[in-house]
Formats: sequence, structure tokens, C-alpha cells
Amino acid sequence: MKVGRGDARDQEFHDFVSARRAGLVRTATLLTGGDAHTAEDLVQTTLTRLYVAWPSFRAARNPDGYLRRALVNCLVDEHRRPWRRVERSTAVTPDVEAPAAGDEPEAAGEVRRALRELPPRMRAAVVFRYFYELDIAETADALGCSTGTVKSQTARGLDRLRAALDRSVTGAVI
Amino acid sequence: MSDLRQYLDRIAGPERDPSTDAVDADVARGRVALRRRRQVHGLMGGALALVAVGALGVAAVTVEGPGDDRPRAATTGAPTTLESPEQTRKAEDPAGVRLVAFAGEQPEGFTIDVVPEGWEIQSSVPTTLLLAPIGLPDQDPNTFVDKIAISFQYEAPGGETPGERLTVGGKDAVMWAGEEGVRTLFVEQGDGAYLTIQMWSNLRWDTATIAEFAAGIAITDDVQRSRG
Repeated sequence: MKVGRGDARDQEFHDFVSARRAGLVRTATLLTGGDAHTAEDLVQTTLTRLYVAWPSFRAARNPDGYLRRALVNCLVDEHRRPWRRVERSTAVTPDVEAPAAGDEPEAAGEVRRALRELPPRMRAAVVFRYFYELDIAETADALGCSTGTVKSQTARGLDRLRAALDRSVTGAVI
Repeated sequence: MSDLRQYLDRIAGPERDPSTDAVDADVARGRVALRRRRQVHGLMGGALALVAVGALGVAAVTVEGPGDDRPRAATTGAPTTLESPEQTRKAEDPAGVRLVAFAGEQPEGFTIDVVPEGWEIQSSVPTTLLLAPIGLPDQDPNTFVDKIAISFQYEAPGGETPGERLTVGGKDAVMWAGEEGVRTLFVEQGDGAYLTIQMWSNLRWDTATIAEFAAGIAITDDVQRSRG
């Protein structure tokens, strides 16, 4: 069935967002290094592009892969901008608020900082490979890179996160 | 679950169902973005049509030379009667269909032999080669409206609409027609890889022109898979 304009697209998209938005926010939060507000921006941008490209998305043989690529594209695009948004008005309050720094243990804070300091693609590699346990090919597809790059980026990213975790345990200061 | 994974799970936060307002806002943003794209597309189509009409007006005058035995256009003013097949072809296609040899520096990741007349390489990265009419207001390399986007990917064409099969430079290809007149050509490269060419609806090329254009594109060793 061909997607019609207007109401049909709206209804399908509405159902899709209702079902998938919560998971997208979680993924986006990890991809942005725990920045809930930037994550909300990322989700909104991704969903807007998805609405525009809805027929292509529906035609994709691997919609989840399409969605991951769209998220990563928006993430990387955001980092490519010569200026970065520091404030953005939204029509609604983001559904997930960023936890206050004092609400989490020191180790979590170290991991959050280390995650945020990773380059976006390395961060995405860690998130998809290690947290979501995607295979190397799926991760490479999401990142638009070779499988070798996924391996090296994931290994380096995990090393940095583990080092951060170790620092929090040993109390080492860098 | 290891400590590290537990911390990542904590950073990701709990999965909370979105509010109705949040979902409605997503739909509203999408509708605005789509409407804006269609408006830009409509404006560009109109502008290109005017340019084409202007060019044809000039052509109608220039063919009126002494001793000129080419097919002549009417000289009694608009509307012009076109007798040249090439002129007729241009009149049907405001974007212009003529392919001309590409004389610029070859982009990274691809080689290209011909381009639509009046078009340029707007951006080139190892994942995507983007062609656009010269002077197109939209210079955003991440938007493909009114442009030709060429990429290399492993995602095969899908969907419920059967594609049109054709041969491009001796290779099997399938063309998938999407909404809004956007067509995407998938040219098999072997090992499950495809050269993809997405053409916006401002291009009304026939299949032979598309095949001729696509046959002039090749991937190089430094191409990278697109990210969709």
C-alpha cells in the first residue's frame, strides 16, 4: 500500500512515534553522552527528517537500521555545525529530565563524563556494540564505516570508559 | 550485567512513554518540515520553468536567420510552436534533460562522466555525491530536495511497489519510484552492494536518459558506504 499524504501519513507516523519514542530517547541520551536536552533535540530532529522521508522509511527492508543511521546522521550533523545550539525552545517539555549531578554515584558521573568526551562516532560505536549488543556489521551500517573501524572505535571507546570507571574506584586523579 | 553496562543503562534513563503532547508535537514538526520542502520545491520548479520558457523564447528568435533551413518556430509571438525535437524535449522538462560532459575535478569516492546541463557538484564526501542546479538556494549538503544524491550502500531496494528493471552500463539495476515523484535507481555492484542515485521530482528524465547518466558514474576505492 502506498502511503498517502496528510492523514494517512500522520496516523502512521503518530503510531510509530507513540511506540518508539521512548526507546529513541534512551538511545539518543546515550549517543549524546547523557545530555537529556541535546538528546531530546536529536530525537526531534531525527523524527522530523523521518516524517519527511516517511515513504522511504516504510520501504526500507531494515527499518531499525534505517532509524539508527538517521539518528547517527543527525548526531554527526549536529557536531558539524559551525555553531552549536545551547538553548532551544520546544513546544512541550522533554519527557525525560537530566538527572542532577548530585543524584548519581561518583562512578556513574565519571562514566558519564568519559562518555561525553568520546568523539560522536566512537560513542555511537560503544553504544551500539556494547550496550545494545549489535553485531559489527549492523554497527558499521549505522555508522557508515567499515567493520574494522567499528572494532577499533569500540575498543578505544571502551578502554576510555573502563579507565574512567577504574579512576572512580581507585580515586585516581588525572 | 557488568558495572559499566549498568552505568550506561543508568545514563540512558528509564523508558517512559511519551506524552500525547510530545507525540503531537513531533507530528506537527514533521508536517511543517514537509510543507516547507514542498513550497521550496514548488518555487524552484516555477523558477526553472520560467528560465526554460525564456530560453525557448530566445531560441525562437535565433532560428529566424536568412538561409537558415532548420525547423522554424512561429514568429507571431507566444505561444511558440516548437518543431525541433530537442526544443520539445526541453519544453516538457523545465529542469532540462541534456547531459553534458563533466569538466570539473572528479569528486572523492566517485567518478562522473556527464552531468545535467546547468548543474554542478554541490558537495562531495566519500559517502555521498550531491549534484544540484547551479545557484540553487538550498546549499545544505544534508538535504536532497531538487538535487541528485549519489551514494554507495548495501541496502537493497525494498518496498511493496515493484521497481522498474533496467540495465545500466551492462549492470542490472532497478528503479524505485517513491512519493512526490522522487525516483531512486539502484545499480548492482556485486557482493550485495549498490550504487544508488536518488533523483528528485524536478528531474523528469526518461529511462534512457537516467541509464545514460548512471552509466557515467563509477565508484572508486575511497568510496564509503552511505549512512542512509
